[in-house]
Amino acid sequence: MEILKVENLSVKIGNRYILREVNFSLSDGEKIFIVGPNGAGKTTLIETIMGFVKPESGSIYLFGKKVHTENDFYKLRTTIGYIFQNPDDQLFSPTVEEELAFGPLNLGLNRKEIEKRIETVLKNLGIEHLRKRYTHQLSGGEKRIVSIASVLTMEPKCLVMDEPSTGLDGEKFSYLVSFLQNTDKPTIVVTHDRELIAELNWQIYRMENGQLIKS
Amino acid sequence: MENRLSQGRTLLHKIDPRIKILIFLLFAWGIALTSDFKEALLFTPFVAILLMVTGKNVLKALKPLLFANTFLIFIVLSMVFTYKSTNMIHFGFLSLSMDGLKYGLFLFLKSNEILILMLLLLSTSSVFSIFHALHHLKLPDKLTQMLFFTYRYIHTIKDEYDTMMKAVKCRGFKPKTSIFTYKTFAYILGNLLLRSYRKADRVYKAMLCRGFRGTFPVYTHFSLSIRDIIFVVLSTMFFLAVELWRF
Amino acid sequence: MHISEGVLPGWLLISGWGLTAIGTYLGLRKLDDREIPLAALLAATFFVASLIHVPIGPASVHLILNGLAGILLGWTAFPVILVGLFLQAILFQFGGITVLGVNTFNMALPAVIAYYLCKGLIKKRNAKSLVVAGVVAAFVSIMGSGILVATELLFVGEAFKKTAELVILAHFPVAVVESIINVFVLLFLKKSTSEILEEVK
Repeated sequence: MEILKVENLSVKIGNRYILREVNFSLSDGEKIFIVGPNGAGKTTLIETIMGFVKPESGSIYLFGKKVHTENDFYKLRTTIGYIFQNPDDQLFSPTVEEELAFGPLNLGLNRKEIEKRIETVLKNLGIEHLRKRYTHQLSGGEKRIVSIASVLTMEPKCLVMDEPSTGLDGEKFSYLVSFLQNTDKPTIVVTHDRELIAELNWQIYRMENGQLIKS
Repeated sequence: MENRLSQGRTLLHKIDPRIKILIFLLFAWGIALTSDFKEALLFTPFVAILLMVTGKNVLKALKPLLFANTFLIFIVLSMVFTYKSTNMIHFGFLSLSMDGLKYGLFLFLKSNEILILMLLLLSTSSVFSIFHALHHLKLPDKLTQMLFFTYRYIHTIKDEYDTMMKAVKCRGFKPKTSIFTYKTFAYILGNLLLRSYRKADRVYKAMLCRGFRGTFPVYTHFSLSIRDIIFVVLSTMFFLAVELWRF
Repeated sequence: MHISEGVLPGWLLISGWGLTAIGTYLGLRKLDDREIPLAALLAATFFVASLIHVPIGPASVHLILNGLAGILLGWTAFPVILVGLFLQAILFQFGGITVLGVNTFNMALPAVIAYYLCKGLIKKRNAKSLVVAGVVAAFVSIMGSGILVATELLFVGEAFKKTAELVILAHFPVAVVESIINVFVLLFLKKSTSEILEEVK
């Protein structure tokens, strides 16, 4: 099933086109890389999909339905799990536990369900020992994993990660690779980390001068 | 950066932070509103009992109070030397006022009673649990959210500041009294501000991405134990006894 | 400069809290949800900045920056300074809780005055008016705070006349240093083509 589709998306900031007629889609079971040099428009593409940047033209579809009102984007943001490039931007709660509860609480779930989700996610990622820790005291690698966890408790239908391997050492890097390999969610990884691309045999899209080219 | 005593395991650490805040406010205002030395002295047994409960690790924490007290010592000294009263004592060119000394000591006592209570009651919980308690004590939502966010990001910004300071030092920067020094600090500060604006934007987006709709949800809650209730009752009785004595 | 716990008479402590409550209410009313992370991050930045000691002659002073906070935040300076001073009180035992109202008012009121005096200059956004704004903000906010602290000390007793004069004098070098810092910060923000100065309402 097709989860996300982007059609002829163009974004203009000032009088410069950052994205030109971008087309792509993501279906169940698909995992892709979006690669390209700095300033090619990778982050702008993600931010436009998430509804933070208004496109000049083009459309975004979620499960085949066009997304355009603020309410549609609310639905989209809680369906697509977006993991920010810098975990410090994403981890604002005092403790890991509260960080993981933030999304589900906003979704209005009951405590029992939230508790279950927190436990499952912590267990699946093997970070039960971090539960009561303060987010600001975590190491860089731990922050990265907790930022992934904080999105997983919303049980998103797919994942979008911006430069997830930034600042990860050998052990944490392999951890990320195996997570990406094993997750059953369709995933978009935006990166220019060659090592990460080499580890995973995924479809690669190249972003150049605001255009997205399948390679 | 964490509260000085938050790591211990004494009785005071186990008391609900909501209770500690309320009792602290009661006594702090009670002491602040006393009008002479004798009245202020009536509160010392309470402070002394709490100090004994907390035991020896409190002494370590009391040390920084001396530094916090510089303003106060300044006040006491200026009281002693400049107060005009009938019972002056003269040492050569110095004239000390006994009334001034008495008044100065009164202020000194009041101030330290409140500061020690602040240490014992507010610093024996983590900073976050104090904020959390303030939320349950109905501090306006926007203000508690600001407290949480501010404390959370002080660490990130301090790290950024430290890194930038290292970077300028690596390029031979030595602070001295010069326009260049001030300009360097100003640029570092400008950078911190710029990053804060950009980070604030991303943090807000991150909140929206996880379904934020204007109200901040709370996950953990406090519950009162018998110990908390006993503490409230005994403290309040002490307070009432002192207030009755005063009149 | 923080006034310690226990020094000021009760009526002054209570009035201080009253005025700070009004200022904070006004500041929070103008702050919508999306601006809370920004207000908090600026509070954190000013908190960190207040830990910076800059040399002046043989001594050093720590920055207060309430003028700059005023320019960037307007009435929101009240809750931002309140939060900053509260954290200093519980983390370092600087100032205190009963006196927090007075201390916040002492720093935030001059900041708001600086905001009203400077916002026109900031909007012009040429170098000359930014320089004037930086200097005016520093002097109004720092000397304003000094004068408020001094006046409050006079209420404690006549004996504080000399002390009060000293307090005002001690603020003067800080105002000079902060003038220079404010000017360069404002010029930096202009040069970095940031949206920050445009957001000054």
